[in-house]
Amino acid sequence: MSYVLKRIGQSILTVFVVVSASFGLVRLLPGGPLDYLRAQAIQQGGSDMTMAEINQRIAAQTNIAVDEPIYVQYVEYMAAIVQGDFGQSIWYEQPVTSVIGPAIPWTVFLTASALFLAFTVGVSLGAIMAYKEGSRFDVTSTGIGLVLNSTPGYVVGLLLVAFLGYRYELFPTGGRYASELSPGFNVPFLASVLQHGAMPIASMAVVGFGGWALSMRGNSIRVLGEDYLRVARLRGLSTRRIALRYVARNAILPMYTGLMIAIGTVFGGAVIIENIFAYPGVGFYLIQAINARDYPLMMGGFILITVAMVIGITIADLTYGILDPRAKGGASRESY
Amino acid sequence: MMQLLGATGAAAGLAGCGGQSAVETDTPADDGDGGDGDGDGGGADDETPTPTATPVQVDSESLATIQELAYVTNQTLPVLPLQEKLAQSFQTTDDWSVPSKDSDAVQTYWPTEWLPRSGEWTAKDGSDDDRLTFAQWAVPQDSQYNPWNGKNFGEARRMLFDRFMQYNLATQEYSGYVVSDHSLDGTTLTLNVREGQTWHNGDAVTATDVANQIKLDIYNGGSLGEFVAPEDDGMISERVTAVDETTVEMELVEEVNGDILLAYLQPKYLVAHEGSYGEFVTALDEAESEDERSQALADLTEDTTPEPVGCGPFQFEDADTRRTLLTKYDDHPDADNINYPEVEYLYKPENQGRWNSLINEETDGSATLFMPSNKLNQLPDSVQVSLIPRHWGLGLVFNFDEEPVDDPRVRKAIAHVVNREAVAKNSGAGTNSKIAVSYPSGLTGEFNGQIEGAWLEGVVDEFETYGRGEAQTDEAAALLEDAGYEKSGGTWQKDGEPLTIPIAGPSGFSDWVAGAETVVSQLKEFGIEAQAEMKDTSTYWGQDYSNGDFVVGLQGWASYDQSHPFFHFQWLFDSWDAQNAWNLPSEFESSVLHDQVRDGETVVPSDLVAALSTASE
Repeated sequence: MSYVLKRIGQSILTVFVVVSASFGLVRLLPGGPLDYLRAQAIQQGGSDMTMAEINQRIAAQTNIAVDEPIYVQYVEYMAAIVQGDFGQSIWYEQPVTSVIGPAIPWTVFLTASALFLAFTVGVSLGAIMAYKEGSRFDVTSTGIGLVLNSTPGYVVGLLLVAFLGYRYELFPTGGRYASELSPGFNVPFLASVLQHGAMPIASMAVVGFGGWALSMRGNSIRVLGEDYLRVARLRGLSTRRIALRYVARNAILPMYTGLMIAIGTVFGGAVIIENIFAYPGVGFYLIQAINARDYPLMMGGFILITVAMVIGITIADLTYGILDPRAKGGASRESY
Repeated sequence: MMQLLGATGAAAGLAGCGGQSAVETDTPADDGDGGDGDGDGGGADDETPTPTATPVQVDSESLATIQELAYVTNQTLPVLPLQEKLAQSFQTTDDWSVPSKDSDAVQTYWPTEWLPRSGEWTAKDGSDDDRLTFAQWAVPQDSQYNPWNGKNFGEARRMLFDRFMQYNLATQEYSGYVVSDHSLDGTTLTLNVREGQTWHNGDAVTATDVANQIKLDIYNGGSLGEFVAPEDDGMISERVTAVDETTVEMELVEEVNGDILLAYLQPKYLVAHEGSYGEFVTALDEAESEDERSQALADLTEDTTPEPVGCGPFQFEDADTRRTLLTKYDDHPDADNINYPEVEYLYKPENQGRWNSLINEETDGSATLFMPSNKLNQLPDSVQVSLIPRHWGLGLVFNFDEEPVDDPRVRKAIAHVVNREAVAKNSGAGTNSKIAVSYPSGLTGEFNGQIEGAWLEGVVDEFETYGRGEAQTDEAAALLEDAGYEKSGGTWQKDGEPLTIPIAGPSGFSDWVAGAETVVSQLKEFGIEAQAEMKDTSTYWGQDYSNGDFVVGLQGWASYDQSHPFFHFQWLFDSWDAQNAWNLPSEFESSVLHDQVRDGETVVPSDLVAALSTASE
């Protein structure tokens, strides 16, 4: 029990340190929201104001927002987030939770679907590769897995959006669902959601499954060489029983921590992908906040990503002992 | 001459497009005359031979002042204008009837908002496209329509609201719109509101709405404030008044050039519906102290209006993550010109997406968009591309607090070395959308010969070109030697230190970066140690540029979307940027072009700019 408390305490400390460091670091970013406004006006045009007027407005609005010293801001901010108040987005003029909140389910939809696909496909493929170790299938799959595992998701994303999106017009290039549909549990809406999510999910899944397949392959080959497997075979157990009960379970076990960490990246894993596909999720607003120097919104995004990651790792630590009794007791004995 | 000036005056931009335009022209120039030896800059007095400018008598006080300011700019180079931009504008023709790309009609800024209103962008008979589709920058459901907030100001504003007036860049004429007529009598400007127009909730569009719009703009730092209540915001409510249902009167503190007033008024959208913004106007009008006014202004600028009450030909329907949908407002006076029921704005936050959407005809047009030649080649034949002047472009701005560019001879040497045609070519990426500046003088209109043919008619020979399409290395070398530099080992040096010119700019502006890299390579070839130091866009604008932490920086050299020189000279000599970022001195030394405008070589350009705003034609 004391291990659990200690581990949770460590997690809270981690979050505290990361939030504090982020708070300081984002303030070091040069420029402010109004400079972004100016850059945007020049870049996009259509501001309907002369250059002089844009600058006058920036000067007028800067005078309105008189900043407090940074340590005062820090104390006030930390006190507020403990109470669940993440502040007001400067760019969107509404509470940070109102900006990020509605985006969370969409990001989770993308990342969780991609992770599920990558994990199931990867593990299945890895197992088959292990059984066919040394075959042409194994060699080819290992090569493909290595290449895909080394490819950044955004490269796949850019290719997909260029070809399947714009050239062949098979999938929509932005948004969460078709504008004509109203959200609800009906087939056209759900189909549209899947259609809009297909390319972002594919971008992440395609580069993700290779890593899982290679891990699974390695673990399975190691397990296949264990003595207890030879015993199992000698006992005359069915191949299916050996594959699922003996090999698969023991090969997946070391991947549990990796899986929990991957689950921890649900919010932070799609930042670039969401921007490529103009898919307004958490990562999309995080980039927007960084560009616009929207400090409260940036912090909201960072905290969400940090907390998810810390929770994922903490759960992995705390539950590993349940899955693998050898690791029970945490640091009190040699861990697996 | 006066007629010409009147006609060319005050080309108010109907709105911007992204990008820069550049016009460059050059004529052989005499060597620089007096520099801008001034206290601030610590600029060395220029001892190079001074050209003998022949005073030219001109009839118009206004034109003489313009020429004098252009001459001072040309001879002292507070900035180096490199190029003028022509914006590319796109219209699809398979389902839509639109004017040809060379017609005057598409020369109206934002053709996508004016052509539908005038019945010149209509659905073809038999077309199955009943929705005009454009692109927008912000997430549609996050867009809002309070212009004084400024953030996420949705593109759909162009159809939701009507502008005060129309301005045609080809004919350079104003015509009434929601402000149907106007008259200027001494210091009283009278505006008449178009009759019979209603807001989308049925309220009549009245003089109160128009007065609200003008007042809120002035409270927010709008330039008309300089003419209405330069010292005291408390006077605004007394000087801008609705005298009856359809008449607004503005009392000016002094007589003002009518073209300049119109240039400020024309592009305004009428947004300030009394029912939506009346409370903010009242709070600002009745504020009794600066603090109260600041608070009221903060309330206004923090307000968001996601579902606006508009007065344009289309009304707000809905917005999600993908698009904003507008439906036709049948009670608009120009509704009969429009034969399609809907307009939509698709969310396209990147240029790449906008290019592809035009290529596969997902969108039906784009008012202005920079598209490089490799993408232009992929456009179907049914998409036409027209070029629209922006009266703006990339220039080099100099920080007068920094050596060596505080010395006018160094600035002029840079100008001589830089081949502006090459800069414009590289910056334009094969699109002909950038024109090199012929006479670095602060005047725009390179695309139609406006500078030589109108603004500088009769005096153009007095102006230095610094070599439009060539590197004038001999002239540059003479200037640098005069400034105490010598070339050693292929590098210009002074006291053993190489002549170093770092050029800072925003990395996100790709056409600017291409232009800057061209300048750098030209300077290096001449023996100046130049470097391009591009930074993240927000870092550059928010820190380096704003704090004056640069030696040479990239910036637009003119006030975009305006053709009247007043706006460009105000930007060059009397803007926040000139004073705070470029640290421009208030006084310059320059020989005299028109002795009826000034008599000594010391000149305070901002005084001439002020005089220009009130000068008669």
